Amino acid sequence: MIATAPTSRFPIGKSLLWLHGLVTYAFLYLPIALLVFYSFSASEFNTVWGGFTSHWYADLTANEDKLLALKNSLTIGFSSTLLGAILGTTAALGHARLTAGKRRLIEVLFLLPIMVPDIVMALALKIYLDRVLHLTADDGMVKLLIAHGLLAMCYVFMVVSTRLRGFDWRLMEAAADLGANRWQAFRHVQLPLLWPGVVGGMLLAFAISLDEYVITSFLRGPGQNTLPISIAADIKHTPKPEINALATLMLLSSVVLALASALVQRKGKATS
Amino acid sequence: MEGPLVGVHNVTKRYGSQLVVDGVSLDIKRGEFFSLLGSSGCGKSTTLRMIAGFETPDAGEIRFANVNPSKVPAYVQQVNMVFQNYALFPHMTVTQNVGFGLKMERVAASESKRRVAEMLELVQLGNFGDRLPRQLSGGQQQRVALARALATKPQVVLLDEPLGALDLKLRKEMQRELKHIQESLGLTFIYVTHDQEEALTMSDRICVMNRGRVEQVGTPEEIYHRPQSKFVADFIGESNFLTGTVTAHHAGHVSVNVAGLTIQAQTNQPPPAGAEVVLAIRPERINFTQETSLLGQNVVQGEIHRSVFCGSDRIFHVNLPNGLSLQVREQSDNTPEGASRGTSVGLTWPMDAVAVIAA
Amino acid sequence: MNSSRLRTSALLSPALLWLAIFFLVPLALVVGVSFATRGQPFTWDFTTKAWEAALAEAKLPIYLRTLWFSLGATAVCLLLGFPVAWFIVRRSPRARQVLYALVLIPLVANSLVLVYAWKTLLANDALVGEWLIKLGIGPDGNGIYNTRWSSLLGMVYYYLPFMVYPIYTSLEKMDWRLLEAAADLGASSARQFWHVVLPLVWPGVATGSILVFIQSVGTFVIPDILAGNKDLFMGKMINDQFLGSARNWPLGAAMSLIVMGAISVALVIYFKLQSRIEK
Repeated sequence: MIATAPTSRFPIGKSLLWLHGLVTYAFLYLPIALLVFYSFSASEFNTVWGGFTSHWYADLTANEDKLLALKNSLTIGFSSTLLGAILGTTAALGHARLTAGKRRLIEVLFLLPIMVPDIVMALALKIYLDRVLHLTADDGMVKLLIAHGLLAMCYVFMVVSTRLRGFDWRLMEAAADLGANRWQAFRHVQLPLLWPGVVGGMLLAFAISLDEYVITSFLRGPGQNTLPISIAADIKHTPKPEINALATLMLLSSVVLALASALVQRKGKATS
Repeated sequence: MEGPLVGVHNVTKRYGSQLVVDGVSLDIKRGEFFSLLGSSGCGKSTTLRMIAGFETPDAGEIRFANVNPSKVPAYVQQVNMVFQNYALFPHMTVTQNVGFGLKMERVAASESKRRVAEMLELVQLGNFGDRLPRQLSGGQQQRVALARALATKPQVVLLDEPLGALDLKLRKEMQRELKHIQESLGLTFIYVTHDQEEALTMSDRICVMNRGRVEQVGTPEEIYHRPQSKFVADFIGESNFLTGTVTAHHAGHVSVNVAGLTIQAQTNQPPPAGAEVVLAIRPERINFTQETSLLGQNVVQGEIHRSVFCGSDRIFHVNLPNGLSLQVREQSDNTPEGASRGTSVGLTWPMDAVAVIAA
Repeated sequence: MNSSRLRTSALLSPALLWLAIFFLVPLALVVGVSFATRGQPFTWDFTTKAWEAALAEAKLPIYLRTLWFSLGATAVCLLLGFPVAWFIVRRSPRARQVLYALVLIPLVANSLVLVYAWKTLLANDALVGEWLIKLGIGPDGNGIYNTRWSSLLGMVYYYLPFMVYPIYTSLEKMDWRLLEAAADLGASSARQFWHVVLPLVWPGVATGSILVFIQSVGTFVIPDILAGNKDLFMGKMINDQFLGSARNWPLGAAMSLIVMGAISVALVIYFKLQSRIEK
């Protein structure tokens, strides 16, 4: 890491730069602040402060639709993350053994599902799963697992393969030199060092799955609501302040997941 | 007499179209400190990695004496390596690192504990067992790497530039320590280095490599004083190189004509008269003299062109009448009175200070 | 050698199979469906009806609007994002980490909810909407609630981190002594910026721009919530062919291929620029 940049006069004056930074951060956090603020407001409207209350949060715990949606979200989140972790990690391990040219190709392949607009991926999968594999509405959860698993796999692959790039392969030679077989070298040396990357990738994939809306709306079966689907329905039809509370909670969990992912990866880096 | 412990027979290794190791043969004896010396890319590390079993030779073979008949390859059983930059397992403590090989061999916990403690004592890290590698200094990491390699009692220890990352003072200290451990445990060390001084001070024998080939194998004295190729003479220390023609044979020495000047050179294998040869003379073996001739010595007259002070020594560039120039190294406090540019001086060196190399 | 190759493919093939079966094949099928006949929901045959409908003149304003708004979002993100990245990178290392994380947090939040929050902020009687009307901003000076402009705001808001991220990364790698050296040689601030900074951060700018553009072209959620019903964007229109009232899968497929085409063109330009920079 480079040292702190020297101060030098630049086209954008120093105070102007500060002002711009301040305004941009305000821009970024204005809607977030609004959500959190009104999630504690007793008023029915997002424009009037009606005094402090926590009953929107209490309402959530009694809202069976939301609880069911939460259960669906968690089920898909956990299962797709697990699937993605296995596929993505093994792929990253294979990827590291390739020559540079092939490596680039594989990287692009795993980047595609992340880059392609979600709506395109959503309709492509809908056509394929409904009309070619003839999965029915009852298979909604399977369809979601396939799609979310695909995304999770790509995110885990990205994180783990980045981490593998910094892996010192001589450690594997050192292990072999001391009598470890291939499995032992992987189990005792490579896996412990790779683990933070795997966990970090999984947390990221889980957060993505929890927030995914477009693909889910295409593939879900009737009545199979996830949290984002349920929120979208509320927003369009009957916006209630309860959403503020739910959004605040989801934001909190996303931030915790993202921070945990970053921390796990940093901690792992420190030991290598 | 026992045969070699490690025999490298005519080994060749290619990476793609590049010939990295080209027909290398070596015999390494039990208890020997054997160095592979050369500049980077000369094939020394690849040779070492083939002995370690990390690479397979394209041609030739590597044999180990005294191999227990078992399925486990010899390089796993009895050869351990100390890696360049150590390759310590970053997530394991010092104790776990040193005990790794024992764990793989399924040595009982109590015995393993004892051996690890013994090894850490040996490398003077008795109190560091619970530290992680990154909490250690470079020198300490180096010691852990050594202890880890020694813990399973290998017959041969391979060391790949083990001191390369250390600063000069620490390097000298570790040189002494490595040599001490090797001698006291009676181990065979195969040591790769590009540092000639390191190789000269520690080794029993040195193999100088260049472009994948063996240039010369010999004791440090042989390598230094009787280089068999211009490369070796040039790579190890400094030399004056003179090209000339053999004019006459005498008992134990030859006369060589170098641009009109006759130089006497001692040699056991005299090249035929008329052969073109290169003579290598170490600057520190040339002395100033007042005499015009000395028995059994070469004596020439010249003129000091330049003198360079370098600490304990002073180096003189002396021009000879036939247009050649010689470098002369003298101790600073031993230089002739008024030796400055333009001073005429007599130079002398013994016949055995001249190495005769086929051109 | 052979067993090593076997091991490599054994590790790679499960994931690659998944990718092929559930991503590449479905994508290829979209091409096929774009030539199918619409109906319950479509029948396999070969007709160019969907493409004729997709390329009809009536659709052109939607495509152009999507293109211009995507380019606009990219430009605004660049104008906003570059100084922010610059601002962050000139703080102390610790402050840098915090400020950087603060830029990324809106990205991990639920997009629906944040976009919805903007909608409530822009309403005529809400915090921002009120001010916009007072200042006479908006197409008729009446704020931007439920207009295409609030969709642009939403895109800029949600995609800004994609711009800041690569620019920040390349600025962080920059050797700031180069600036001192340039200043030492008498280069003015503007010239320093033009000749020293820009060539070095240009790859970051290009990456950020392509990321924002790709996201914007296919965006559906943002205009769906913010833009109201008057102005259609491509993402919304495609969505309607599958889930909405329009129900025309082949047309949706054809239009999604147009989106992919636009993205491919952008990517080609990006890689061309990138390789020219490397030279």
